Amino acid sequence: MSSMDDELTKISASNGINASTGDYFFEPETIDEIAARAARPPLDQEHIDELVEHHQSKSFAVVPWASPKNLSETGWGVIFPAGDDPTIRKIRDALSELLDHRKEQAGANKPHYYREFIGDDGYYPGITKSAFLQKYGATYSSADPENVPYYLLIVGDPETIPFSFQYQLDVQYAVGRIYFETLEEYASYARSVVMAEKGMVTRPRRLSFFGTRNNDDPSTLLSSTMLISPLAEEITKLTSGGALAAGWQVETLPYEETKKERLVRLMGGADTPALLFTASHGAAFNQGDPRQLKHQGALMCQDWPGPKEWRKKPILTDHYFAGEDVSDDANPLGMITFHFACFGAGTPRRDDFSYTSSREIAPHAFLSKLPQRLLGHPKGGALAVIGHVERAWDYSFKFDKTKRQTQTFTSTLFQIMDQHPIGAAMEFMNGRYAELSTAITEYEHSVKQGKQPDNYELAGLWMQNNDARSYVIIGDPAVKLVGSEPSAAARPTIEPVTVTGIVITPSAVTTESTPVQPTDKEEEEKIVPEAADFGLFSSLKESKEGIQNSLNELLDKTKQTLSRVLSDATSLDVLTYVSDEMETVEYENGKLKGATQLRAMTRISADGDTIVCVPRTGGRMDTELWQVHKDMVDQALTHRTEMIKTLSAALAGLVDALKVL
Amino acid sequence: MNPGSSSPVFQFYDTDIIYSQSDLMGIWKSDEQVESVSYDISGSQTDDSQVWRANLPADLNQARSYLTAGIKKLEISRQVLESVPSRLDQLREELDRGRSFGISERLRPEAELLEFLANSEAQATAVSFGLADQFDSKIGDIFSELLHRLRNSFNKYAWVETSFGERLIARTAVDWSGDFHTAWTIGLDQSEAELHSKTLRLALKTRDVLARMIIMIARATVKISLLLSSPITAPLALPAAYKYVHAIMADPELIAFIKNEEH
Repeated sequence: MSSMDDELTKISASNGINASTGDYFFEPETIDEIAARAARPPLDQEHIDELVEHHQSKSFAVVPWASPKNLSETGWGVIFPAGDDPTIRKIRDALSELLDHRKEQAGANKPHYYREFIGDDGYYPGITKSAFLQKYGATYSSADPENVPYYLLIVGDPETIPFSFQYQLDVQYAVGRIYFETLEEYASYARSVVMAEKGMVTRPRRLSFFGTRNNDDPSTLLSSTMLISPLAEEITKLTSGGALAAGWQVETLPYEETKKERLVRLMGGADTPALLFTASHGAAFNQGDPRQLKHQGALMCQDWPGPKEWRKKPILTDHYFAGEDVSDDANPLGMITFHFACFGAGTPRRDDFSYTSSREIAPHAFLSKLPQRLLGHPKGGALAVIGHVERAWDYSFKFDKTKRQTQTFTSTLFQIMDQHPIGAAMEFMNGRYAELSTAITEYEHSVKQGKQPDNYELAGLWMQNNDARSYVIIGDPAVKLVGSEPSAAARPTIEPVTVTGIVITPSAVTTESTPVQPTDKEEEEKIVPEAADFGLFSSLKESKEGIQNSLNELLDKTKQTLSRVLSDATSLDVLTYVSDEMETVEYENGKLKGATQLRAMTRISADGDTIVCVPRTGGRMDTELWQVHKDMVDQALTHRTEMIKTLSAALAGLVDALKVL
Repeated sequence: MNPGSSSPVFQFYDTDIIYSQSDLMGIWKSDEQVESVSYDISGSQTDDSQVWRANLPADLNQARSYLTAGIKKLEISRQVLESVPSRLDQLREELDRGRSFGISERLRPEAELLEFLANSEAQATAVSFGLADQFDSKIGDIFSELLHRLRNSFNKYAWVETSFGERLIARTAVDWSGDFHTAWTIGLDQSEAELHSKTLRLALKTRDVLARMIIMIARATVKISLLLSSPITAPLALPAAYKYVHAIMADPELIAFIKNEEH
């Protein structure tokens, strides 16, 4: 290998295997190609600016007077998709056990510290994190539960509530997500969390490290030697040094034993620990491969003979551990898992690391089945899974080609073991994301100041940044490790839930075309109107298309207007003039023109600060005019509140209507 | 019409829209319907505004009663609109339970909706007839116009004027962010100021109710789509929703009921 080839290998070391072909999932890219992408303007400058601000001001997480371990001080909220789809209400009802429990905890002292963002208050497509927060009076500073709770559980698939919203919200807040395909799974998960928090579940106080090292595979060689081994060593030191409660056992499986049958025992089987950390390849599939939606993100095990021996042959199901490998008899209740693997948590529709082509890699964004199965298990589910959306890179644990950095992982695991809610423990991961975004900004600034551009440095920063962003929690971010005993033997299961088993299909519908894999029934339904359409419906179809276009245009306009109102309008101005030539008065460029005199002004800022200029006549306040002005201020405030409510409701309604048309 | 004047009491003007509806919420006459205005309403604004003008009679009590009646009408419209989702939910529950009512036993809008859907679906399954025959294309045009009007209100600022006894007493510009800029004629008394305040409320409420109407038609579309038995007829949900919402708003029994409830 040449020196350049050597660097190329390093830059492309992502943990993903194309299970459709047996090759690595993505073609290697040159440093210059990656750097060229990184040199383009970031997709969301506002978000980057916010990350930099947070990193520099160190104002992450919840306000300092709230303890992250106490929900009555931090608050807890749940975000559903907006709209009045009856399915959302059914999901909410299925989760009621958990919601009642959280309401009791978070709303103990202040009822508004518990929030349900549902109906018109829910998430509607296209809204940015900042617009969502500003709707409730929250700003870029630390999470203040007076406005929006610190712990936020998103309920919805990533097409309906995109990963990008989750990443952005996660900078200040502790965010998790759940999405299941049946109501039973929602109810089962809710009951599992409540049981665990009421002390009805125990797990052995054990952290198990499971790291593969497949033959001839540089990626897992790196992850086993530069991540698993040092991490296990650091955590062991912490446990033996008394930094953690006594009785913690840290177990590192020899890589030869990291086979599928071992994961069966670790994930709901006889060896299930309280906390499991895995590092392996994630199985990835080509778009259109029938296994993609079921198996993408499955954990590749030591059973895979490695790229040299197996290259160019489709990966077998025996080589990986997928959601369906967690049997109905398994009992993952109460455990927490952390998976370092490509697509371990989910898959976006488009390649997150390809700025220029933005090619589609899946028919729609989706969560991986393994975490869904672990959380929604009928006998009681895992409490949370931390995983990666899209590819996971070795940048997560190394820098400068050969140096390792595992402190972020150590800190996160330590906090989880120290009974911090998982969302608070993930602040170290979010902090790293903000730190890397700041580094990119500083790099760009220094180049503008005359520094010689260094493609290797820029490419590295760009990849690290995107990599760090994509660690997410699947599950309630407020869960914490169950009350564990050093060698707890009891392995309770939950009482069966009794929710009617309505299957919820992934919504996966946006205003763009979405090539969702149809079921047989859907296929039939699509065929029927086409087959019967011998021009009979042309008039209806034309009208429908015209209306769809109008609805889409209105939807776009509504999104823009709401974003402008929420994001840009930092203050409300009410100005009162008088004129003795009313016919000359005109409005131009945001001001009244003509024979006018400004007599009173009120400016109300987003943070509530108010500036008032009072009208005076002959040295005294003109009370009559002041009364008139005050009436205008009241009307303006009422009007703006109503406008925001109406725009939010309009967005939700239009999106729902477009889905059925 | 304003007694003693050829102008309608409430006028609305938007350069971008060719109106097919006779009025706006039964309150505002659009410029096209104004046969002989006392002066050109469009002269006081530019293309980036929507003009809302009240031409109030010189009698203060009469002027107040026009405004109060308009605001009341909008409040009732809003309440009626908000009832749409629950009424459709109730209708669906009844149908799911297999209850069979005759048309006369239902409220008229529901009866008309079921009749419309039944006829349309029956035709859709008969290959020899065109479903398009059942679809009044005018509904599409009117609904598109409604959407256009609403979209314009996001693009344009509202220019609200009040004339009292043919004297222009105030003008207010309300921009997209909700800022208010108002010019009052010098020497105005409190009761006159109150008239313009109400005109402003009437104009902004009208805009809000129009938006709520779109929202309710969209929500009704989703709910009505669940009543349809065949995917072929899914596109019918929108015109059916449009007709249903309008029928509800025009239903004299319900409006009378709400009025009585308020007394």
